[in-house]
Amino acid sequence: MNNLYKNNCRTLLFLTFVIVSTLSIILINYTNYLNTENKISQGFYSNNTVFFRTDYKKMTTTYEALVSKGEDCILFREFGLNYDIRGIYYKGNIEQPKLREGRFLKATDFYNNRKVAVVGQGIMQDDNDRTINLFGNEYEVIGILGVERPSLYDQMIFFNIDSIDLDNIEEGLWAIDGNSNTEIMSNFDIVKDHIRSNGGNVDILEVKQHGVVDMLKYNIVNIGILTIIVVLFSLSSIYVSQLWFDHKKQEFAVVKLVGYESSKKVIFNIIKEFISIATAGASGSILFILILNILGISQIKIDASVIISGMIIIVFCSSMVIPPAISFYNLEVRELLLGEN
Amino acid sequence: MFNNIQSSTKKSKSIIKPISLVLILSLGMTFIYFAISSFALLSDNITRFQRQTREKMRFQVVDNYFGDDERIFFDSKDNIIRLKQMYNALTSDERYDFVVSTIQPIGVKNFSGSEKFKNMYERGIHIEDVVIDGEEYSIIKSLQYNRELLESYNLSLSDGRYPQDDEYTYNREASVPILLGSDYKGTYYLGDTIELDYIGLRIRGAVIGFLEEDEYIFDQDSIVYLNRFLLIPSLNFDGLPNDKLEKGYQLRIYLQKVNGTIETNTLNANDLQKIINEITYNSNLKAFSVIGANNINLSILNMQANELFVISSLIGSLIIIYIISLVSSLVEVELRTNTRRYAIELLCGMSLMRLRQIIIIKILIFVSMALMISLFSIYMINGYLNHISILILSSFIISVIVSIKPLTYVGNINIAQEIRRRI
Repeated sequence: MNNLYKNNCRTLLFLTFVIVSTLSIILINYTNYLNTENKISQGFYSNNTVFFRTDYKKMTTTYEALVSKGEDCILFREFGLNYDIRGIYYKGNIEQPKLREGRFLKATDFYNNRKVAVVGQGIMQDDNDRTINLFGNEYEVIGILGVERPSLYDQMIFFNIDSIDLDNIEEGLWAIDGNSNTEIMSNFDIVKDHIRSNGGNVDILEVKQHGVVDMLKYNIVNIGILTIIVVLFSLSSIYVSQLWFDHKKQEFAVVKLVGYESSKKVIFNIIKEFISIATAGASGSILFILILNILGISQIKIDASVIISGMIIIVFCSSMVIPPAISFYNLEVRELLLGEN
Repeated sequence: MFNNIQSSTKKSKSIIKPISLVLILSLGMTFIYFAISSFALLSDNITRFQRQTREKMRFQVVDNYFGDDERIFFDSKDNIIRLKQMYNALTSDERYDFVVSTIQPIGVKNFSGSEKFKNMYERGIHIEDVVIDGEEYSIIKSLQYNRELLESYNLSLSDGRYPQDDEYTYNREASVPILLGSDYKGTYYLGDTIELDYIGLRIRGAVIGFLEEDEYIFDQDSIVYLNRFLLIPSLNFDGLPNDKLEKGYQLRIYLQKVNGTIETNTLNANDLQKIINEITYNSNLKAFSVIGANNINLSILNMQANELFVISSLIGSLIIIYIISLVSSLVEVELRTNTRRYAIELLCGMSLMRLRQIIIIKILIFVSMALMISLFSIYMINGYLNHISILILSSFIISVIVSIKPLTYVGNINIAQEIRRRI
């Protein structure tokens, strides 16, 4: 019975790591999926996008200021009534919209006397004709926007903003997006400083893009629920780890009593065993997900961010067993044996 | 002293574990509460959206007055009478709902709100205020609606009331009821009076309510969120206009009203075109067209929302299963550590029934404490307590599931082996 109990404890620890790792990977994927879906439903605008308006007419020089001083960013100018025709300037390594084929605009497409566009899969009717007409000019279609199912991308058009006369366009909606809020604001500051230093006005606009999450009127991944889940996962991992550790006390006491190995070595071995179980649990969960993916049951991505998150969980939980290990290092064998119950 | 230290160490050990267990259980129950109440809310919102996009077909009624036809119609003497006749016919037909949702900016005198309420703001276009009779009016986003729109979209109010039936009819002596989008909170208050210029009609409005956040309507193939909108009823006029000014705004208002939307779940476009042709013929108007509303974007959103709901439900269920399995395993492990004690109790004459009662009481104490902590946490997070039945039901289910294994387990304790093992 005791052996069974000990084995149960080890199995429980292993299973806890398998399940916590699996659920964590699923949650990370789920959060990414929600963000992507929301971005698609917001026509590629993110929740951090800064919208602005300016009366400054020489936007070409603003663009040049952004090229020379700015960080990775994407600059938009709206031309469509439904936020569906967009001139863009794209710099650096920025998340691109989902493409069905071809490529997105790149650095060499700008200021190279080119007229190129990426259009939604619902717009291209003729596979042989890879051009579209915009503002009376012919644009070469270099990529097709869209996902596996119908989406708002299907009717969108992105084109290189330098293909039009930037210095003579009417007042309209501009936007800057990027990888992080800090980068976006830093780029916006460059634009703002340039325009203001040249006597123009620029106003940030409180434009809110409403996506599928707004339509549902509830953000499923809200910070409260995520906190509960993270605390729950951590607490349960720590609890089970502690339980397993308690059952190692007797082993530690016996080895110490017999004098077979030094206390340090025994503690080191116990921590090593714990990390092995934790790593096996995390690896088991990755294997489990890979099998589900191969069988076509799921499409859960396992990338570097997921593996790093898994490692953080293991390191975090492992660090939780070090204090009790050190604490019973100082205990007498008699106390350890007495405390076994 | 040594004994005291030892007993205090033992005491602290015996307290930490049950407290952790109660904390895990309470966190689990709090999650279950939020998961279930969130999904109930999501389900309601999706159903509401689907009712609009799937269950009802929407057709736009569009006039065909262009160029010379329009000029001739505007010059005719009885145009308002004919439009009123058509509007009455459209709204009195019980085979469908006729919804008026005119998005027409409105002038607001001495507007004190921020620029985001102004028309074209989201397009990055600044519209200057206009001066009418020496007074400054800001042109702001506005929606004119009939009662069917409020019913069709089930628009909810956070404060105030809906307009009464008689308030849909223009009364020179009374204020027009104004509903404001949620972003207007803090700019205007219930009972505030606002001077409006609605296509030439100078009216006094009174704020009677505020919409909930993110209330929306459909405009052709897109969703229009009403957070920044000022809503007034699409006014009916009892009498005929007395002068040219009155005729001007009545004509435009009625022309907007008849360009409404038909919502039906039985009639198709051909049936409706026949009905509209009959109505326009009887009203001596040029034939109006019936255009099936393009629902592609709305369908895409609907599909996305459904997919998102299914995936969210699946993940929520997985975590709930994890919580229940974890708690039952931990309770079982906790009880197994007391095996020897149970064996001694049984040996000393305690009946199995009594032992089971003790275990059930222990589990109930655990669950009750966790329930209390959950209720407290939810109150702290939400500021109120509702749907408590979810928590009580989930704690009952957890108690039952958690009890099954220990209760069968104590029946199979090998007393001799347990006592012998420890001596």
